[in-house]
Amino acid sequence: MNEIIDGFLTAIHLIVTFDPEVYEVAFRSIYITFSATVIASVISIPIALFLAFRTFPGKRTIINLVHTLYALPTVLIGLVVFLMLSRQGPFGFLGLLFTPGAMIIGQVILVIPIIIGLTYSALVAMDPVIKDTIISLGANYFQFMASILKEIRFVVYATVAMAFGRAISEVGAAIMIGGNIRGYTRVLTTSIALETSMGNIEFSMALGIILLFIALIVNFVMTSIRREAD
Amino acid sequence: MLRIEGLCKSFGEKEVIRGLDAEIRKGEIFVIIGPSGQGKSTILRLIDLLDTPTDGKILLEGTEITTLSDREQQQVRRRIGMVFQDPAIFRGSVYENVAYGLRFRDLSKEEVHRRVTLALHDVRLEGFEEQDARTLSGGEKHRVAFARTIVTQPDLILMDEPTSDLDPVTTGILEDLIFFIRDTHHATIILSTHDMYQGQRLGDRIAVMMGGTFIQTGTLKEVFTAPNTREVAYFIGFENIFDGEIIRSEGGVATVASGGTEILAVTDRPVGSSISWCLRTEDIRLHMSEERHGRSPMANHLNGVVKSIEMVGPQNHVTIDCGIDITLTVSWRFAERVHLAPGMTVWVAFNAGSVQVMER
Repeated sequence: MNEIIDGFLTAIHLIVTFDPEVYEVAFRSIYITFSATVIASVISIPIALFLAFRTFPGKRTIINLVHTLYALPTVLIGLVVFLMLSRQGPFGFLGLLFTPGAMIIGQVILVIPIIIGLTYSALVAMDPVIKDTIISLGANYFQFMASILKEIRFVVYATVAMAFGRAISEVGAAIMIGGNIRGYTRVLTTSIALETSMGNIEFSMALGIILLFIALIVNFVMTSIRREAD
Repeated sequence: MLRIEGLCKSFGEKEVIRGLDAEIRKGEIFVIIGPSGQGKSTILRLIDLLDTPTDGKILLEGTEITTLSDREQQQVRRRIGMVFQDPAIFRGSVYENVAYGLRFRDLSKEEVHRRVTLALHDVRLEGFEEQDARTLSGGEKHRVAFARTIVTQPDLILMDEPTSDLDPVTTGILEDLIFFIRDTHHATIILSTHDMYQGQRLGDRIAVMMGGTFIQTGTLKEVFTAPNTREVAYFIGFENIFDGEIIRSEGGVATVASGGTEILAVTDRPVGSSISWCLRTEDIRLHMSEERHGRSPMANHLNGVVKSIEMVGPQNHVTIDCGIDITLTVSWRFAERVHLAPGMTVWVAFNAGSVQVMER
């Protein structure tokens, strides 16, 4: 018990004294996940709009697939991306394996189904009179899409925040395709896994507290958005 | 202004609009009345190009609009305004809601402001500009929807049951507003309602919609005094509707045999025609004695027994078994004065000209 309390106190000390290694890992985590979330949003939101407003064969299957991919195991993403980016893989020539870029790719794949699925659900649940009114008022295709997104913007914000939370807390793929290289691809989750296995509990706890703090901020943002939406 | 030719619309196996034809004149209020589920909303949606017809044409000032390209249809929609039954209120202020359609038209900020201010004045919502539109009352939300429509200055305005679910006072305000829009914006208005009295109040012309088509179109007088089918008669409030056969005819007055009773009706239909006929309750006179009844100048005289008396507001609806059950209206004061009660023998009289003969 004392070990845990001592560990906690040391962790607090590392945080309040702005330990460079702790903060370097934390900022890298935020940078990689923020980039991945932005890229995934730019890809996913237009796809969700397309799925919601276009009819084509196989649409139902794609939507079912997207929902299934919510529960995609992260180690499986890690394995697939690893095989794609490894020297013998089809994208090996890019030399991305064990780089922050590879980790961003992994996180993008992880959160794309979440953003597509939740945005699509919000779009199809929308009052059809809203859509009809926008069309009736003379909107062109892009004005229609922009107006629809404006109407569900709070759901989109909450979805993106949720995707950020999911990506930053992921560990399996990050280790496999980032390699957990100190000062280069080491992020909060991979660092906690490594330091704990090495018995460096205080450092792990400091990183854990920061990760928890980020999760709290994400949760706070989502709650605020929900309150604003209501 | 607008011509509809042979319009059909099916949703899967279900045919909602069946070969509908209509001509709507510039500047008129054309009211589509009919019970729920007869295709009133669908026809408005087809005109607004929100749905695609299965067959037929819609011509706006001579141009067939249903086959235009997406871009051309969008331009047509900008000439048409639509007020939905349950208006959509967007997130944001009343001002932003009213300005919504103008934002699609690349107008200057000053022009948007000028038009929105004017529209809010027209619908009597000045001072509400900054209020969150979602916090408005039902009637105010409808007024926002009206303002959002007129602010784009459309040539044709479609209104899908615009006052359903509203209280009578708010309905009155919105009905005044509809006349105001017609008179000041010079727009042609097509309005659907299931309320025949609203149809009477608002319509320059009326179309009765049943089974996915207009079964009768005409002026108020044409439709409300001369329904052409049993269904129309029933919907517009005739309580006495019967089947019969013309057994004699002389000088435009026919004798109709109906349920063992014979009545006289003004019609030029030939002897032997199977017809339906109807009679408004207010066109029937009730006599309590045979002596007074004998002095009535009316062509039709029937003797019967009071079957039932039902209070409807300040009136009593009295059903009399004359071989056929004839229903008429008397004030409750009159009913009390003459001690009207079931089982009493009474006499009824009505003119041959009050009998409306229809195709069966």
